[in-house]
Amino acid sequence: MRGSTPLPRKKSRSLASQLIIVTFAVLVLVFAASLLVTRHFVGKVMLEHAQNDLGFLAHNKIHQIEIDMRKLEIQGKMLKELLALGTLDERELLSFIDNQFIENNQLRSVCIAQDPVVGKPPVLYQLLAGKTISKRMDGTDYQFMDWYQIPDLTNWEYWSEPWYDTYATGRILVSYSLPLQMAGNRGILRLDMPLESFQTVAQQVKIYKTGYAILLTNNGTIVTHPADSLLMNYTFFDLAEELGDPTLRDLGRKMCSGRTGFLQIPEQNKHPSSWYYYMPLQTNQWTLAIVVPEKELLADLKKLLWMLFFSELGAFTVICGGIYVSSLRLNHTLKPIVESFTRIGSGDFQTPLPELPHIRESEVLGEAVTAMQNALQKYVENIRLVTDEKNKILNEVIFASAIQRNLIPKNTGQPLSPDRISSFGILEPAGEIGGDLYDYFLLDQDTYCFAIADVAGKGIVAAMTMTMVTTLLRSIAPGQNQPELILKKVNTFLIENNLESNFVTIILGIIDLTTGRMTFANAGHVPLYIVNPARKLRKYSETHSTALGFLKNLKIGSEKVSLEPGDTIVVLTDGVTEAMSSNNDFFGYERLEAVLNSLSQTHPEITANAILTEVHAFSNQATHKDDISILAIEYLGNGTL
Amino acid sequence: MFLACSANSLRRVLLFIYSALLLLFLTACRDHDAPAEGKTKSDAMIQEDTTTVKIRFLPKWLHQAQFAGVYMANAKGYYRDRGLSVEIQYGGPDHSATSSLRDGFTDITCLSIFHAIRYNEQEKPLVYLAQLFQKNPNMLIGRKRAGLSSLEDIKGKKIGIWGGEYGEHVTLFLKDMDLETESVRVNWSVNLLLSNAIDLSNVMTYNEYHRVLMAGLDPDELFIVPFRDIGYDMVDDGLVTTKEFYENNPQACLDFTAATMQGWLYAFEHPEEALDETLRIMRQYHLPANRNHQAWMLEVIKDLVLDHPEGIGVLSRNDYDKVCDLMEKHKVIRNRIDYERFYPFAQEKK
Repeated sequence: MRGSTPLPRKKSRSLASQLIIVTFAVLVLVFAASLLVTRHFVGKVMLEHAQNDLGFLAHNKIHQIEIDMRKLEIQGKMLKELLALGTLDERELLSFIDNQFIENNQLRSVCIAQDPVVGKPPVLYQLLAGKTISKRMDGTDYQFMDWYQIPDLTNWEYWSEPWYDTYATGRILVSYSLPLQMAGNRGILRLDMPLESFQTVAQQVKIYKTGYAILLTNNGTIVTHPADSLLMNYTFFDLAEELGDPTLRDLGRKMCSGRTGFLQIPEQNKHPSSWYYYMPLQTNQWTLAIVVPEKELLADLKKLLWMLFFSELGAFTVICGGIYVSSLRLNHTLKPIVESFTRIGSGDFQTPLPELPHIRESEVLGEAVTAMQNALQKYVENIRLVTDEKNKILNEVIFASAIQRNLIPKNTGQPLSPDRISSFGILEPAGEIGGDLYDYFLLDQDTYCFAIADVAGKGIVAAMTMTMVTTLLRSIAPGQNQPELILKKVNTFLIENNLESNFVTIILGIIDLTTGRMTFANAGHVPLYIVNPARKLRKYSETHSTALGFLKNLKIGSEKVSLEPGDTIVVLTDGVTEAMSSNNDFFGYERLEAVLNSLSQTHPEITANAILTEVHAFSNQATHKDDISILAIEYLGNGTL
Repeated sequence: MFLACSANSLRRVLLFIYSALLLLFLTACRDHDAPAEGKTKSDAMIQEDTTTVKIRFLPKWLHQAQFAGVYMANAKGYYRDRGLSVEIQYGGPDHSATSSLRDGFTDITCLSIFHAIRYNEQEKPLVYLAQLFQKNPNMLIGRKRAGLSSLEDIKGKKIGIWGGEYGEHVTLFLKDMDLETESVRVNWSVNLLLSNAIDLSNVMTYNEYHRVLMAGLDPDELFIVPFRDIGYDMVDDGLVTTKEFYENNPQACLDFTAATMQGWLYAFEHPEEALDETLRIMRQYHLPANRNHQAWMLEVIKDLVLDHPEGIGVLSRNDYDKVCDLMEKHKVIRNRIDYERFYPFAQEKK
């Protein structure tokens, strides 16, 4: 609207920032989801692969360790059989054992121990300087050593825990002991391997960056471990207790129970989260565990995730940048369009549109705006024409109103037969022009004619109808003394000429001034009142026909009334009785009659003004939409007095 | 079970009281030895003032936290402050404490009271200088799955018992409880139990029991017979010397005892330092130095040592009589030694 104050706008973000925010949120969600999904599934696959790799490695290492152990077991069983047979003499036995040293370079010593009751000390065979020697182990409580006592008590073959051989080799040995029957006596055959043969294989395990192997005995004693201080000193359970890690103890129990597994130990006490693949040795049920820190095991996953992250970040940046640039371009394009629209919005409909980008939506938008501009221009032109026409009509109406007012008798004019009759009329149109009329004139010297009418509808049509009726009455009434005949002619005229089909209610009266006899016809109009000087009110409600302008062959009647001098005839239109108060009450006939009853004088002007004053006082002027017409006529007599 | 909070709190209080009592005791010792009734110091004391008395101490076993009080007394100079030069010897299964005393290889050692009383009758008379373990640390343990759920179940089972003097306590317990078992002499190895070669094994709370736990067995898998909780709470290890050495060096024996007790109190108050010193000595002798195990041992021994209402190192007559009664009952000894003769510091205690 031209010159109007624009409404305050909500603070809004630019198109670019809105696009970037929405895109950012969506992309972050998508990227985060892709990272999580990748981490979960790829991590799972990597762990499965790692489990396979570590399992393969553990299997290989255990195989390497057990080659010599199995060889030792076979050698032991062969020797046991030979000793049981008792066919070898001392020299042959020495020769046989010498061969065993040659066949198995991990065999360090062989001990044949008989039950102490036999009274012979054990004999120890060793390879010293390339020669196998034997010596008797005097003064030892050999029968209380694990390698003797456990197989002796259980009658099982027994792989010992590592033990420190202070008597012969001065080294830590692992012994394989077999219960023995020799010359009818119980005994134990022991074959020894150095612990290094186990450690060497396990210590060779280097996997990932810092992955390592630990070898545990049946009791959980740590045989190989990167921390030397733990070797042959701590058990795995000592380590768990010192670290205060019950999960490590649980793992130790699983490992020492001969199971195979792949388990994660969470980070605790500065020890990183690690994965353990553990597998038992078949020969002696020791456990080889390969330990890899999780961050190394999943290092490739971490790299992959970082690559994915950066590639997604790059894609994200490119997408956001593209959107930003596109939106800037769009903004640049939209700016003149917005300015044009602003000018159009402020009323300058002829503002030319800037060149729009060659995209379908903008072309459609441009066409729509152009169509809107044209429509608006056409509309404005129409408005202008209509306004001009309206103004023209208004002028004509004003002119018609002036004519209309001129048609109505002037109360200020020369009174008609002033000694016999006095008249005063009021017409208060609701608009510039009205549809009500009143009129009075002399048909001849002694005949007085009056009329009051209400043309249905308002505006120019009603006014013109009223003008026509007034003119018609004046032209056809002279020479007539029967109001119904006059009205009949008016009816015929209205039927034949009133294109708008307006109808007219009317009271037409003719008074013989010499006799005071009045004949009147009421065609659908409000009642006629006669007030005599004694304030006696007569009301003539009967209508003598319907309103004029409806029926072509209308039957109209009339009524005769004798007037006495001083009688005042009051006729009015429904603008009086239907005047409405602010409470939506009608003025009505009771109030009208109360006004008429309360009059102190009978002068027509006083009567008419009193009614109008009461109506004004009663009604809400703002809602008063109907014309008001009041005509008061006082019959003064035949003039002979 | 040995580390209950309430027990810890009680031990802290006892530790404080014992420290105070020990200071009073030491002061009393000095006063007792001071010249009285106008006499001058004895020649021996004059000699001790000017020369250092050398004492050889032999731990009953390999170096470990079981002897942390001696290590700390030596390291902190408590012996030196009393004019003693203490040599801590290398003990263990190859160095019998009783043989070492008999042969004059050592001056003071650590023995179970059972062994001290028995050895006293057989060989040189012994003198008991201090009672270290006020509670009995012996236990029998076996796997529940071996069908063990009550003492009655022990009957007929294979029980590994340490050889010689070390298994005497358990042997007497089994006799006293009239439990017929198949005893198997073992050499301190828990592997027989772990490999199911025996059903039960003789263990000490502070040592072998922990090694069994540290081999992966959980306490709830074990059937445990703690002697002290079944009415068999005899005192155990104490400081022992020969009567001869004591009579020749009474003040040195008293000083050694006092300094050793002071060393124990220091070790209990400074366990990390005590462990460091213990592990240092173990490494010096190329022994496996397992700090976790030594920490367990020190904590359990703290409970064993600080459990006498009259003070640290005290052998009460009641405890002595209880042990003698059992030994007489099973005819291990015939005539008990007089309490004051066996434990001369009983007077000092008073």
